[in-house]
Amino acid sequence: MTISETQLIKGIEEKNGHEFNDEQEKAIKYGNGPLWLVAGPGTGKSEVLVVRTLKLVCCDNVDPQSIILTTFTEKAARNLEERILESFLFLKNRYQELNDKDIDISQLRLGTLHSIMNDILQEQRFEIYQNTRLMDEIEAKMLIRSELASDIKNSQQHFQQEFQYLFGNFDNPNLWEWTRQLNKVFSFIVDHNIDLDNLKKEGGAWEELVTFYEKYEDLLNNRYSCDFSQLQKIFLNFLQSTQGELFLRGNIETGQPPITHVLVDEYQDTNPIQEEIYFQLTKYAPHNLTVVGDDDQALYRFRGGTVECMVNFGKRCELEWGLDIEPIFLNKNYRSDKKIIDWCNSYITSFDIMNQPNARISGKPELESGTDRDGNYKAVGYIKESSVAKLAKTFAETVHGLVENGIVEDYSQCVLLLHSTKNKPRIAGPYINALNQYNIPYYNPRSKAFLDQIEVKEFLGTLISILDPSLVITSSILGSKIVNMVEEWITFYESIKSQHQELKNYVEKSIEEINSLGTNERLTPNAQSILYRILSLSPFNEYQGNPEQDLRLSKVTRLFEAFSSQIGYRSLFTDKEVPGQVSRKWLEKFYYVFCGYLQTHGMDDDEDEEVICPKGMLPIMTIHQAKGLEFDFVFVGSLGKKPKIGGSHYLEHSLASFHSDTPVLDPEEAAWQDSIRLHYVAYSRAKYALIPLVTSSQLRNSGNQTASFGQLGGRWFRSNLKRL
Amino acid sequence: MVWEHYRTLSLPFESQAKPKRKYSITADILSYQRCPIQYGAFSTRKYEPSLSLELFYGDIIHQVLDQAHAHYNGKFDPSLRGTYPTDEDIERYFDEVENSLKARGLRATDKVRDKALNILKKFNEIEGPNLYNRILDTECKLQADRADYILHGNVDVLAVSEDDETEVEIWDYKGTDKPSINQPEYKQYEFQMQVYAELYRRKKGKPPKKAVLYFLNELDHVESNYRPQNAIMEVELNPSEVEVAMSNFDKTVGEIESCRDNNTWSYPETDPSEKTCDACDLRWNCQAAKNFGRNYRLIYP
Ligand code: SF4
Repeated sequence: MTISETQLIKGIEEKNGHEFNDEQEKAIKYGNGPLWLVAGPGTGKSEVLVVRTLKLVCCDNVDPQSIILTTFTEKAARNLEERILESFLFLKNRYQELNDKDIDISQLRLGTLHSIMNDILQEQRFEIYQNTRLMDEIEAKMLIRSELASDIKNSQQHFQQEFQYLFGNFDNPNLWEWTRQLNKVFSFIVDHNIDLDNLKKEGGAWEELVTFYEKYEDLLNNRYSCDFSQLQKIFLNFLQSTQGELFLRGNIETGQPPITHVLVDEYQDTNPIQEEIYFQLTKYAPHNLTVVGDDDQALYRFRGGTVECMVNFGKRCELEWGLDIEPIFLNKNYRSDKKIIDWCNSYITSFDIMNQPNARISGKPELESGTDRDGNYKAVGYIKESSVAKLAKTFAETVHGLVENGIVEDYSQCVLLLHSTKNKPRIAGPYINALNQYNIPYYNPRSKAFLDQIEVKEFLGTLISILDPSLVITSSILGSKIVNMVEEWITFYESIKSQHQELKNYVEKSIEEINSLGTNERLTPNAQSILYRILSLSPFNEYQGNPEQDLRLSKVTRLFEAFSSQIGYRSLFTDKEVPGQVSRKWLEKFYYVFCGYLQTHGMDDDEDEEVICPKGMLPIMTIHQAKGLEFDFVFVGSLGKKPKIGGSHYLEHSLASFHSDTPVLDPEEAAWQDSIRLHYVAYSRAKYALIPLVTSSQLRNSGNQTASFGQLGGRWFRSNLKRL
Repeated sequence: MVWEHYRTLSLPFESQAKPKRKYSITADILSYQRCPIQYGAFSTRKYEPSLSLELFYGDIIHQVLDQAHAHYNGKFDPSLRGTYPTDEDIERYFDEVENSLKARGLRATDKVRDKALNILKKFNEIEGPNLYNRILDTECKLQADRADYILHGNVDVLAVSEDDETEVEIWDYKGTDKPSINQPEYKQYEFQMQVYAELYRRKKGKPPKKAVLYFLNELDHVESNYRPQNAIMEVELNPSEVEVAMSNFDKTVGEIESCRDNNTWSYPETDPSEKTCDACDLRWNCQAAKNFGRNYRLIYP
């Protein structure tokens, strides 16, 4: 038995304590065919997605296994899953009808697109994916660095010249720089669904690129591995295979039902190959593809996302399926004070560049307040000081005042949004100092400060003191940055060894043991086990009592595992020629791949998977991290910068000629649009107060120097907003 | 002062409800029951174990069996549907799995390797003809929403019952010998199967007829083509046993949650077994292992 749509809506409205607006209800009830749902910030898009999914299951009697629901992050997926389950249980309680049949809501195919593809390929035993292991980005880079980068660098003739823009200022990029860029380009050509034959025909650097890419693919095959981009390609192959056909249409023999509905959240960050995947998944009429997103909040061009998929969804449906569809717009914002909404509207519409074709969905209405909350205080007002240090101080003082005076109860109701959260003097440094002065605890896991921590340095210093006590490799061939880093680690070990006799003994006896061996003798079947012997001794066993230090030490073991699995062996031998020394080859890999990764990429602390920001702490976030979140008080720093034209902008532009449909913007325009969207996301996070933090000199920038202040620049900003 | 602009506001803190955690029957509950300290380090504190032979063994056995089933099912090649994998097929699947592990630097000794292969061939020969054609589903996902958490597990095999086509059996493969009745694993495996049976019942509305544990290592000791007696353990399924098993799992999850909150992991109450400790990265300085009379001397390096 099912319930009616009216019952569903009424039930959920009871649960939520408020009603759906007309557009929300229309989207929830929408019948067969593609649904193009354009939802501005704070317009209740997730709730609509939850209830629409329940409508399919509870009203239309769709088998949960027939529904694919994708989100952008794991966190978002878990959140959605939880909400669906909770609402479903509520409905079950409310309506007896739903108890007659056992609906197993856990059978929904819900997750990030990558996790869903991985699950399906495994579940369907797609042969070329059997025994394949999905690598994360760190592993993919370590693999490229370990096995490919040097060959490619040495053999390339045109590549570096053609793609100079990727290497930026580096005239003679090192192998890690190569690794980074190769990883990017390889992903890009897959993400953009580029036809390799077309590239090849072009000759020169493009042909070279294909050769390199094919080498990479071979390597992945040999290693039974696959990276995130490749997974999409394999999945698309699967969908076009007989097995895929059976999967889409349902398999009577196994009782697996067909795929009948696909719902995609954050569609504005979809890349072209994903777009293709979604269209393939719903290729059979009536094409129940629901896409939800906001073109103004697209943030992931650097990861291959192209907002054009969202903007042109209608055209694509017309082209593929001959269907003429109109978007449903959710524009009632329930999050922010009216003045904040007005500011967001006037900000984004101030730009001519956002009125160009393909920039925004045409006919998009402005955001309206769904609550009419319009406080008699300065909901949007900026703080201006003569320097960042002063700005940071006023910011901290304000946060302190807000909590101290009961305006907000907890620090975590405020947020500081910055362009980067690195703890460096020109970035988050001044804010961190100011927060420290006011004794305000902050949460900033992405500070890249991992390598600055003593437990990490002492741990790695101890390891190297055992394996390479005389630093045989470092002096002769390593780049100076790695050498400095490694030498610093060793001084950290040296400084603790006298207080930690057992550790010192372990190191010295290990060195003796290694020295006593001849050539090519096995030291251990598993190098990782040495890490655990070190960890069992003081001071490391004590550090493990402190949760933060513990997590960093465990991160070293995770990185070491990534390294071991990418170099392809785990045992450790003495050198083939020099007796009593660890294999030179292994040491080289260790320094170049493992230490090199740390040196070039730095490391963030792990983020808490369960909470966005722990209670009692002020979160410092990038705008990307803040996407989808809301805070009572939002402080936005790093304003007044010029939009940065990145490698992705150039790459997208130069690859445009190899794929057909959408016209691609020139890199500078794309960079401006991205910067505008980034600011829009930042500004629309605020519920009660939006507080831009600016210095006098930033505010002097005009509209063609920065996107921070609207098309007319700092002067317009000053005359439109109030200074606090 | 800037904050004074907002004097009229007073915004309470709204705590975000923590989502329910997911717990896997084998990877969480059974491994916590084996040794809480080990579980805490490798599952929650996210240490990466130095991968051992044991992993090789368990992985390879499950994967090859799964491929043998897929083979019979015609998943790889529809024309092979209904044909039994030969020894050569098993070898080929074994090689593929082994190569994929090797690519990650996981190598077994010849002894371990040969044993695994031998067992798989034996299984295929002894059980294949009587089992493969009854299989309905493999690696079947089950899940239940409990009050404070979500419980999930993967059943290795769902098969049509031998003597009644309307009934279903659940099978789980273990890459070990059959535990003796006084080993803690014995009870834990029983609980595991009872819980699977319960999750299955909730999903399909009807409990399975049988729950079977298969101890593959027992096959290593036989020469004949008959199933050794100890290879199989059938778990009794009745509502009261199932109830006990479910509440045992709830209790374990409660313990895990409180360990996580306090960040301390209690010592195992029963001996995690010599084999477990011998392969454990934490053994160099483990008070719990010492309490069970195991002293591991540091080795160098
Ligand atoms: S050594 Fe044994 S007792 Fe200690 S943590 Fe490991 S398994 Fe548990």
